Amino acid sequence: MTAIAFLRRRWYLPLAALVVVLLLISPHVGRAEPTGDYRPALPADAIASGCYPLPRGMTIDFPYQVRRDGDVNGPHGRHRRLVLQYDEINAATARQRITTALHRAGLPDSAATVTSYPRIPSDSLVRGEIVLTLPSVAQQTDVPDAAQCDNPFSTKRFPPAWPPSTSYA
Amino acid sequence: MPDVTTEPAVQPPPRQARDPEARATAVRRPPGRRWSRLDLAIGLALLVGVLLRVLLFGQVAHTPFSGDEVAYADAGKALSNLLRDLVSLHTPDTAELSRDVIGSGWFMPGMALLLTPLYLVAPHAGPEVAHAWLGFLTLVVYVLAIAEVRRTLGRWWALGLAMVPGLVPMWLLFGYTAYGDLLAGLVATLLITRMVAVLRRSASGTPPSLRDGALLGFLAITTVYLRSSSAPLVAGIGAVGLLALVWAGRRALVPVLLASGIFLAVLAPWSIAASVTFDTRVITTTSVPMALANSFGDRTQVCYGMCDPGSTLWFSPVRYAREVSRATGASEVTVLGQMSAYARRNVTAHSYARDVITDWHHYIDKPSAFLFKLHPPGDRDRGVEQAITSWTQRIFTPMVWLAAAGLLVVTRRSRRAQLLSVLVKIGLFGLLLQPFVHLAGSRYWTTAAPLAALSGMLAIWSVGTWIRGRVRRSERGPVDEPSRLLTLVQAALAAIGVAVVVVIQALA
Repeated sequence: MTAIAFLRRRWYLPLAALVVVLLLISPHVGRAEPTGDYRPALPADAIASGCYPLPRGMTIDFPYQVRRDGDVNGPHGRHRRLVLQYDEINAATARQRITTALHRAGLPDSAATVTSYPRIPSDSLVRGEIVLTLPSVAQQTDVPDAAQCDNPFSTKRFPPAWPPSTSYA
Repeated sequence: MPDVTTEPAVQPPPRQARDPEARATAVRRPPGRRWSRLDLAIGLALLVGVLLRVLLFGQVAHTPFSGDEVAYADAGKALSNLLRDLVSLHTPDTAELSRDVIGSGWFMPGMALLLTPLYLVAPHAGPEVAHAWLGFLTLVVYVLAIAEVRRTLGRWWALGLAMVPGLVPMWLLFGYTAYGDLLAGLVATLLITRMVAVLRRSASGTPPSLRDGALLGFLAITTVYLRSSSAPLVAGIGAVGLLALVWAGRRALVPVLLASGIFLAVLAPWSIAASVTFDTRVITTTSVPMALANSFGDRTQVCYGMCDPGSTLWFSPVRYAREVSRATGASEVTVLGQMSAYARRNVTAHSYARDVITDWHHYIDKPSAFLFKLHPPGDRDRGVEQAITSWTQRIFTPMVWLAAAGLLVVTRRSRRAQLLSVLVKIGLFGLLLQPFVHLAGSRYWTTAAPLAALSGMLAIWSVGTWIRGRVRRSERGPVDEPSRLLTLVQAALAAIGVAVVVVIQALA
C-alpha cells in the first residue's frame, strides 16, 4: 500500500494526531478570557445590599422584588417612593404583612398601597404591587459591597435619561 | 436543468459490490464523462465566489465581534479552557462554563464548538484571525454542499447553488461572522440532499446503510446545534425520512434508529446541562417565551409592568426573571414563561396576524441591513456599502420570487424531483415559521438562502421540463417512477402555504 493509498483509507489518523498535538500545546499558550457579557452577575437586591436601607425596625418577610426606588416631591414634602412586587401571596396577606412591618418601624398603615394585578394567571408567582411612602434615606457607605450602590440595576434608582428597554434595533 | 430526470433510476447494486464505497460509486456516478463543461462552469462560479469572498474580507477583518457573536465567542473560549484544564488535569472552571457556555440558555453551542479549536491554539486571537477561521469553515461546508448537490441532483443544480447564494455579497460577508444562521442553512442543505439520495435508493429497494443513518443523524443535530430555531426544519425532514421504513421495510429500521440515536445522544449533553442549570426541563433553548412576548405581547407589561430601563428587550426581562427566581426559589425559565403569558393576555388573532406581517418584513425587506455592524471599525465606505447593497438586492429579489414559485411546484416527473420538492418545501416552511414565533431580523434569511435557491431552481426546472416535454413528446419517459403519495404531499404543502398567507392577510 502506498502512503497516499494508506492516507486515503485512514484519513482520520493524521487528523487525530493533529488534534492530540493541539490539545497538548493548548495549556502552554495561555488561557482564553471570555467576556461573560451575556450573563452578568445578578446585581444585589436593592434592600439587602444595604445601600438604601428600610426604616429601622422594618423588615419584609415575604418574597418580593424591588421595581423602583427614589425620592420624589409630594404634598407633604420630599419623601422616598419604593415600589416592589410581592410574589406567591394574595393581596390581603400582602397588606397584612406590610402593615405589620410598617408598624414595627412606627409608620402608619397609609404608608403602603397594595394593588393586585388585574387578570393575573392563577399560576403566576408575581401577584401584585406595593407602593411604599417612606422617609428619605441617604446612601450608606458602610455596606458589604459598595459598588452595588452605584449600580442602578441593583438600587433601582435609574437615571431619568435611561431609555426604556422595549425597542428592537 | 435536466439532470434530475436524465440520470438513470437506481439499479440494485451488483452482488459482488460488497464494499460500501464501491457500491455508492456504482449507484451515484452519472453516465458519460466524469467531468463536463458544466463542471468547469461550477468551478468558475466557485472561483469568482472565492475572489469575492477575499475582496469582502476587508469589510469585516478588523470588526470586533458584536451582539450575539460575543456570546458564541465567549462559549468557544470557555470550551477551549475546559479542554486545556482536562489535558493538564486541572479542575474545570465550572462557573465560567455555566456563565459563558450555558449563559441564559439562549444559544446552543454549535458555533462555540467551531470556534473552540481556534481559541485552543490562539486563546487571544483577534477579530482578523477569528473572522478568517470562520470564513474558511464556511467555505469548506459550502463546497461540500455543492459537491453533494452535484452528486445527488446533478450539475445544473450544483451550478445554481454555486451562483446563488454563492455570489451574493451580503451572504458572503455573513460567512465571516460568528452567527450560526448561515452555516445552519448550509448543513440543512447537506441534510436535505443526502436525504433525497437515501430515500430515492430506499424507494428502489435498497435500504439506507448504517453509514447513511449515522450521517443523517449527525447532520440533523449539527443543524440544530448551529441554530436551534432550525428545529422545525429538522423535525420535518426527519418525519419525511420515515418514508424509508415505508419503502424499504424493516431493513431500514436499524439505520433509522441509529440516526435518531445519534441525534439524541449529541443533543443530550446540552439538554441535560441546561436543564440542571435552570432546574427545569430545557430541550434546546430558553428563549421562546420571551421571543413570543416581545413579538406579539405588550412589551410594557413583560415584567408585570415596565422592565428596567437602560438595557435591551432581551436582557432586561431575564434579569427580572432572575430576581423573581431569587425571591421565590422558582426556576428563572418558569418565571419567563409566566411573564410571557402575562404580556400576551391581550393578543388577538388580528394583532397576531399584524405582528406576523411586520415580522415578515423584518425578515425579508433589508437583506443588507447588517452592514450597520459589518463594516471596518469607525469607517464606513458608502461606495462599498452601496455596491454590496445593490448587488445583494439585485439577486435577492428574484431569488425570493423564484423560491416562492418553487413552493407551489407539484411535480410528477421523477421520484427524485418529488423528494427534493417535498424536502425543500418542508425545509423552507420550517425556517419560515420564524416570523410566526420570533421577532425576525435581517440575518435570518442567510439560513434560508441555499434552500430558497434550490426552491427557485425547482421552479425553473419544472417550467423547463414542461416546455421540453411539449417540444419532444415522450422522447424519454419518467426514468424514476414517481410516487402518488409524494404528489399528494407536495400539493398539500403548497396548499398549506397558500392558506397560511391568505389567512394571515385576512386576519390582519
